Amino acid sequence: MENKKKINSLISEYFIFIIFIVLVAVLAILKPSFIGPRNLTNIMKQASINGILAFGMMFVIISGAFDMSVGSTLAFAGILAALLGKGQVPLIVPMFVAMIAGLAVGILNGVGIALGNLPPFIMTLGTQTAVRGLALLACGGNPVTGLSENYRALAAGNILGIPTIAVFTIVVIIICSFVANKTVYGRRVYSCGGNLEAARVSGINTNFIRISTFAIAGLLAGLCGFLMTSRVTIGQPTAGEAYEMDAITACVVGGVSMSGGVGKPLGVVIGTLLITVIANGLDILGVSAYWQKIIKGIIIVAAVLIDVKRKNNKN
Amino acid sequence: MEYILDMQNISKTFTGVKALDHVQLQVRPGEVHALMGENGAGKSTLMKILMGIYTMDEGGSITFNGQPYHVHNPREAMDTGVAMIHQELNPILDMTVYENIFVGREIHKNGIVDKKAEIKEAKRLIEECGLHVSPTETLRHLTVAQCQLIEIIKAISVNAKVIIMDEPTAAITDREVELLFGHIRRLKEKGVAIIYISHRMDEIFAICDSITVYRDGQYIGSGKTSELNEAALIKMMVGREITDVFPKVEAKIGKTIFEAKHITREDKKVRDVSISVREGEILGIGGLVGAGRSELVEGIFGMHKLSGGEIYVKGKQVQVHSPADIIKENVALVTEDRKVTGLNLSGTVNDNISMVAIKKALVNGLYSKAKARKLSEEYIQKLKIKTPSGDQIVRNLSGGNQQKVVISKWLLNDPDIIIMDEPTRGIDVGAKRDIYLLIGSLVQQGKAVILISSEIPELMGVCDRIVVMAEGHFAGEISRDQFSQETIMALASDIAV
Repeated sequence: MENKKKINSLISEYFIFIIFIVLVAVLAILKPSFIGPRNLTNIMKQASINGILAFGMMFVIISGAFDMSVGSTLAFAGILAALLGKGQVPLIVPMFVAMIAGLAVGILNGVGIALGNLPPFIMTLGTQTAVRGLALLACGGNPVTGLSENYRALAAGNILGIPTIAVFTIVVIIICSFVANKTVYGRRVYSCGGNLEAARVSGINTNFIRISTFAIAGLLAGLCGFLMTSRVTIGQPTAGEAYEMDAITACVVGGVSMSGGVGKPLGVVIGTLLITVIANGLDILGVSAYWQKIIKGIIIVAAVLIDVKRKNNKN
Repeated sequence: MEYILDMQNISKTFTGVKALDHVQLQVRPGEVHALMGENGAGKSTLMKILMGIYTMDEGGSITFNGQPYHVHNPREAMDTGVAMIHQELNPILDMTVYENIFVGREIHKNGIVDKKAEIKEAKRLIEECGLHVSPTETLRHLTVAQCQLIEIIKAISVNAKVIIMDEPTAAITDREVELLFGHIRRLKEKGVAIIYISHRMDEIFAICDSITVYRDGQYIGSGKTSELNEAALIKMMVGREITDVFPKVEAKIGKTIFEAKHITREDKKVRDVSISVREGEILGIGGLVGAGRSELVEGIFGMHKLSGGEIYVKGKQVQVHSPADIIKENVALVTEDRKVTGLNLSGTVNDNISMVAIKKALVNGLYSKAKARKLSEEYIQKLKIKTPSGDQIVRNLSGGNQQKVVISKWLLNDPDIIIMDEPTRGIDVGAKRDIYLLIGSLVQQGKAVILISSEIPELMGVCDRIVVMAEGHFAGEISRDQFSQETIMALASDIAV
């Protein structure tokens, strides 16, 4: 009885993980090439950008908000990185500038929301639109080409057989998981999302926490811009459109609650992989792009629906 | 037909836990019937079954108005003639009074709302209830008490034969309680039965005709209020005798440790109020609802802007701009509404207990779950918090245990001055006693406690000194040897010029 209960609670806890494993198994049986090294490398690359964005988004959602602007921020930062990445400057310069640009947008979002009391939807919708305009303005509406050899090679390269771009993601995941689980700051983000007023009364500087979560999301979107430019070898002002939706999806599918205060980094990793694997698997199976969208939509809603039902039953 | 409502053999099992075990309830038409029992006794579960929110286990039967009663949701219950006023109100704040009254059963012609008819009917109902608000007023602009009365009007307007009232007086003033009781009496005359849930003994004896008691999901007994007394009732509820409802612990009173002088809030809800408290002393703050007691301590604690006043902790003046500033001086505030300002309901017990003194849960500068668990286990034991483990989500605990979690959160930070705003509201007799004993042990350690309470007997039982506020002003101060209910009431109702 006791054991059965334990197993049930384990299944509940890792439900999305189980779905993920089943999905991988099914795809592997249908198409053995799915688990070939070539495709696995591909999945890692595909999951990388969204993975980094999702981790920034995770902090924002746990703190009780969400950020619609990261896709635009990615594009703007990517253009800046491309403009700087044409010459022979060390790559650290465009990376740094892209991240600072992202950080600036994030802080702006946070200040508007925490100090200006604007709803996150409105504030980040505003920056989504305006920053996209900045990206177009910075490059005159044309893609930025002529990146240096080094810069183009970055995303194509490997470190110990792992795509460099995925190494960035892994580092980001490790740092973010550590911050969320192990630091005072991380606990305070959860407290703010759980009950903002109670957190304030407990002596937590809630304005700082809220602004900083947006700053993290912006910073990481900036990093994504830098990586994206290398991956597609040009600076695209239209890059990253609707990426914020994929990031939010990865979080929600991974068990991060949209009402704040709840969510685990491991869940976000699984959420990211799950939506990547769905897209990749359907590609391999030769399903048309139109159907892919329909199936993706259904799977997202179904995954969360099952999760919600399960949680309700528990109470 | 003797009973309007007859519930027999009702059981309810939640995933292996028996929340109700073959209990019964019999209510006569036109009576006020109290349901009593500690939190977790099963009162709410029973009422949720009656409202169709839960389905009972096989074998139970409910007869309503002489007919078998089967409902699947609150809507069906209301249509049958059973309405409930919930403890936690859920009014739609941005809608008007009349819209709230008719939400879900709008008066309409072919799907088009008949606004005029709704306003007219709402006006009639409001006047009948003796309330002075316009039907077109937005609920956001009303007080909690007024919202509560709107909920009651809503229940009355469906012509219910049985109305369940869950802690209806938790948030309203004495004057409004009288209004409510007046209305309950009028409903009785019409033959409406009221099922009344409250922790306040005085109310039970003032308004109820009969009482049914539950304990741990079991039916304990029922009887006429006139044949029961308070002591017998408490014994039925807790299963043992509580001889001393307000245990007063002797503590040595030392020098002044905290002073707030001439506190005036920017919003003028508190004007020129000074209080001070000494080591080992329990200072009570009394007054009617709306007297500015919570507003005073929230102002002192940096939750609201002050336009004047000075705060001294251990003789040193402190500039308070946010709660963090005064927490640093070892002052704690157990706020009035634990759900709004006290707890992270979606967090675990451990998360909540380490929320203020998180630095204690660090190992080498990093948050350690193991350490946080160890710290919270200490308080779970010390304060007798009933929870399966520290990893339980706080939302799932009962009110009394949630309150103990809030208190633990502050105690872990080793405060010297502890302000408690209505710490026993909505919690049962046993848990109340635990909190009084805890307050006693705090002052014995030389700490100072400031206690806000709307229950005068509680203040008189526990405090060394009481400051009374009225309309945002200081109305008077009484020392323990001068305590009397009449003096406190007189000061509290005194409207300052």
